Amino acid sequence: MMTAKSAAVFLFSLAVWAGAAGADVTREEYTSPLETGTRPRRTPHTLIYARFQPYDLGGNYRDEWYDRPLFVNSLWRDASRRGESWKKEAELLKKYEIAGVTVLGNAYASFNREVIARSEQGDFSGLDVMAGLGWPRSEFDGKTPASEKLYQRMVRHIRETLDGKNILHIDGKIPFFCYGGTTDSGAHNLRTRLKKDGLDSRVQLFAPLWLNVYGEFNNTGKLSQETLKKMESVLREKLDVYDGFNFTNCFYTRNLRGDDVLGKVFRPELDKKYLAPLFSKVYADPKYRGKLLGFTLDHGYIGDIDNGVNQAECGTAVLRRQIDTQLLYDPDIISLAEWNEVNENTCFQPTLTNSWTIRRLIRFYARFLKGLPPAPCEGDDLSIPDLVVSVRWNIQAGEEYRIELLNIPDTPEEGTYRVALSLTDENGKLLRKMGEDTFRRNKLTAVTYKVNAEAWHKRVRAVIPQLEITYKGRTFRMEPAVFTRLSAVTANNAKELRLPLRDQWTPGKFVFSALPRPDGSVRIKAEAAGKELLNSLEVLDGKFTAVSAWPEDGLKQADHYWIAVKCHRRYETIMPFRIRVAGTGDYRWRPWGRPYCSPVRLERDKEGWFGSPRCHFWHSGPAGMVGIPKNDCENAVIECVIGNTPAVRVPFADLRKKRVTAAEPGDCVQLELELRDELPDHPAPLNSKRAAIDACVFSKMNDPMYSVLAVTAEGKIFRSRPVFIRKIERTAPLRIYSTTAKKAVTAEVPAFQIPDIRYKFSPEYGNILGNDTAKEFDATLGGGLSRGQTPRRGALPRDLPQMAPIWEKTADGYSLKFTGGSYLSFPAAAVPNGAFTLEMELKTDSSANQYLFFTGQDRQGAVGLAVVDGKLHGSYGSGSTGFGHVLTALPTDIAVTPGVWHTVKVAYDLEHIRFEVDGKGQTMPLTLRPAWTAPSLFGNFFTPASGAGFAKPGPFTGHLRKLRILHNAKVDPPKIREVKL
Amino acid sequence: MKKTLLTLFSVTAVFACAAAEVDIGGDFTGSGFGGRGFPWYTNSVLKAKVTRHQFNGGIAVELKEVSDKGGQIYGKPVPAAPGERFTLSVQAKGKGTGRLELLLYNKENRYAGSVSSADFPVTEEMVKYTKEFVIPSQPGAKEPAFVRVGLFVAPGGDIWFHKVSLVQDKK
Repeated sequence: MMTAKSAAVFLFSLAVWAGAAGADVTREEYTSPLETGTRPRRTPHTLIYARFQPYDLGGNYRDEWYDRPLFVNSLWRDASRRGESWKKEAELLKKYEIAGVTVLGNAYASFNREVIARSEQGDFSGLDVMAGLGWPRSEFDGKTPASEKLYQRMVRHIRETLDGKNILHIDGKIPFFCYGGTTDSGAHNLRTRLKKDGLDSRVQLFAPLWLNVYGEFNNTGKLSQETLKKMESVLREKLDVYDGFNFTNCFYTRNLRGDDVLGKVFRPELDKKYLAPLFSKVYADPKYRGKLLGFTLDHGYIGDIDNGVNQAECGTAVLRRQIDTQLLYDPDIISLAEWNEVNENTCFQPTLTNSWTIRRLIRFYARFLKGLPPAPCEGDDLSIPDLVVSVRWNIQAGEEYRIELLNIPDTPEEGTYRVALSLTDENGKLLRKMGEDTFRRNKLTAVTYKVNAEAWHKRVRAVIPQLEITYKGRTFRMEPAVFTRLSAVTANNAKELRLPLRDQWTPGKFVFSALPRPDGSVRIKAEAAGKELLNSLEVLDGKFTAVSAWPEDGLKQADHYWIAVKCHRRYETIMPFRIRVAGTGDYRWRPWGRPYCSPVRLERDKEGWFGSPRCHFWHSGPAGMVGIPKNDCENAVIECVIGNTPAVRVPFADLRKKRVTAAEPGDCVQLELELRDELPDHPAPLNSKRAAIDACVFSKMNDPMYSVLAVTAEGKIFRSRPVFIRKIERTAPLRIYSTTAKKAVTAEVPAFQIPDIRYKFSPEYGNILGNDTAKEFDATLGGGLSRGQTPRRGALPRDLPQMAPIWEKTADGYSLKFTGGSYLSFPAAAVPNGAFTLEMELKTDSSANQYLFFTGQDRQGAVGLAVVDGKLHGSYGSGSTGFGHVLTALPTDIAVTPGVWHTVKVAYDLEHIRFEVDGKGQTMPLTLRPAWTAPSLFGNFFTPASGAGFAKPGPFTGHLRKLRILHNAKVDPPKIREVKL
Repeated sequence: MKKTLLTLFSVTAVFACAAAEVDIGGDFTGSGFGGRGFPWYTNSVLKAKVTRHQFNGGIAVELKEVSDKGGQIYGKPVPAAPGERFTLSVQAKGKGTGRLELLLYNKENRYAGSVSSADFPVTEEMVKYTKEFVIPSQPGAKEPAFVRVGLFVAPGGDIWFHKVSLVQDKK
């Protein structure tokens, strides 16, 4: 209990702290305890393996990125140069000082063979391969052809691995570390059959394990003897079947009212007091001698697949706290998930946003586990501390600003240094000054500050940290090359920017300007030069590359117009794809590479086609760019044939005017073409000490933000302060959800940061539904089939005759006619992560229950609108603390009459939601917090979560002639008559 | 800072003296009948068909009278004493006649009578009805120690109840 005296001391400290940094600042300090357990290990020390996915450093350009490997090299996309990519990977892996790599071998059989073969070659010397297994869900009993096929595949994988010369053996056997799991009976059947085939005695099979103890521990702070006995029997029963566990010692939860919505929660006290001792006890049993224990380690999961936070990174806290609790079990194996999962952004290899942070951390732990002292990395500048700065790349109004300062020990010796943190705006004006922090050089310590940033949004566009460091007797200032953008309505990028100060590059010469031009374009000039060789120089617009410097490799922007080409099909399929440009000579085709863009031949055939008879459409099909010579483009016509559909022909002169077009030639195929100012591809290495950019670009963004990103050949990063094109002339009130107040509040933000999107109903752009606010909000007629977009995942009927609705001319313009499941697809940015007003003019053709507008995947904040039993029916994604998604039904009494044009309006100000049809409205209280954006659809549907309040309605049949989405709302509370009794 | 804290405590103290909302599960969320999940109970004599509806971003409970004696649901016990004042309010719409009640229970939790509002006609317009009750003194075995909120529908009625609120005046 707090005594009066201690309370006074506490209040005094708080007051002193508040005076120093402001009452709206919190500070947290955490030093990794680096405690290990007592479980009997089978390996000399805990071995760390990085899981390889089938990506390389050359391919996988997807025209967008949250992050990308630091050493991408699009020249390595050429199959003959793949060896160079492997060589680089091996060089990088060795810098982590880990044991080697692992692959989900049965899932990626040919890739696994390649990894095993490479591991036996020179580049990989010193790294070995741990066998991996993506458990298929099977009984392996041979009773069905599928089961037999899986068994045979498993046997083939095991045999191929056993033949490897560089495979990890433990106690003379080969551990197949697992991902996912199968049934215990399936594992038992597999073992029985492997025994018959003479393989079982040579392999060690793992089971994934999670123990259902967190509810009890969270509620009571302890585990009962009964629970411990039950868990002990779980361990014993599984170890009777398996040779080890891949144990998950945490749980996921959604903080529905806080920042970093979904994340892992660790309970070190639970591990220390209960679970680790339990494991020690069971593993010490002679019966289980030789059994193994491993963990999977990740550092977050912020990706485009689910449009946001799948697992928050929280600076580097998730990684550190995870491995700290894993050490308590003294594991045999830690598997890094994953080394190079480029699509999901879980990379452990160096990337643009993580820099070398993960390497420094893993290397520190790897050395600790091997009993080696902390040491600087090769080439480190020892005049500055090994300090890592991590901030969110982007926060939206209502979220807290967070910054983490992490010392990674580089010496076993005692010694301290001091850091004083200040925060400034993008122009260098001071926002906050924190107190001075002292770091011990031999301790892994993180100091995290959180600041209520709501008031900043009125005038601040980005937050820049500034450090005053006193290190080895010298005091100096550093501006870490990271910043946090402040967005008003939506922050579609929850990725951390992490940067070790020792991996920051400072150019000797740097010039940057971004100036708007009368035609709406922006003239960008950038130059960077120094003593080091440069790999790349780019100017980003938000998270997208606006323009990059290119080496003289034949892809000359000066000589060619470059057009991004993307095609999709509703269903996964293999079919032909061909593209050529008629009416011109020296045109080019440059595919974006594997594995999610089918390889299309690089050579033209006799008729001028680039193509392949067998292209994989995993919803997204072949993609790349076509180059049309500038001096011979007047009569050029782009021709594209997909499958058995009729050829799509787009005159370049037409595209040059529109810049973007899309078409649906049939068979649920969508083709999109877009003229680009830049080369839409990963940059190729410059290998030059100076690079420059001088270009005019059109931004797709409502609020363009340009910044320079340069990477040296050694992988050091320079990131400039951002430059904003739009100036704040006036502010406007915006309804936001405040994670500090835990409720809706009104904030003043720049007026232009509140988009008011009015879609243009005109067939001018083919299957693109444009708008005048910004291209980032453009919708498509049908389509939307690339990764992460709603229709790809949804339950669109397989027999959908046509995805795109049809343009119809009316007396006063155009309307879109929807028949049999056609739809509009909206990007995630179109619907705000906050208050909104949705307004549309529509006419239904029937009284059937039908979908109108839906935000995909039922996310927390998903907007739903349908006609059910002749009435307007809303729903809203309410979120849940687990993985599942829940909708709250919002039925109304407002009639929607078939055959009549209606103006339908929905407005939600985070306190009330109002539905209106032709001015007749119904207002309801609603305080659910939006926390996740996703693409949306008009007219068709996906699989809704429970709670929508109706059975699955059909698609919209009728007409739509107006659609407006305002990223704000004002709803008057409902007035209700009161009677006193 | 000290001044701010003092002000905060003062405001809270004044507010606490004036009135306090009693948690009676008046938003009708939760599942089942009776207990912590959904602290409302049906009356075995005054029967009503009870249906819960999604309504106005929350839940409304529909009471359709089926016994010809009137239908009722009642809430969980709330400590009370003679002379104490409670304000009961509820939004209602539908058809028929409604009534708000506080059912009185003695310290052994035995029924000890009730205090009621006047009957009120209900239409399709959602209206907020409010009644202030004073707990009567009934010395002896029927001295009230607890109250439960009762929502009553007269015979033939079909009423939606929404947002039930009970505020205790602690003066």
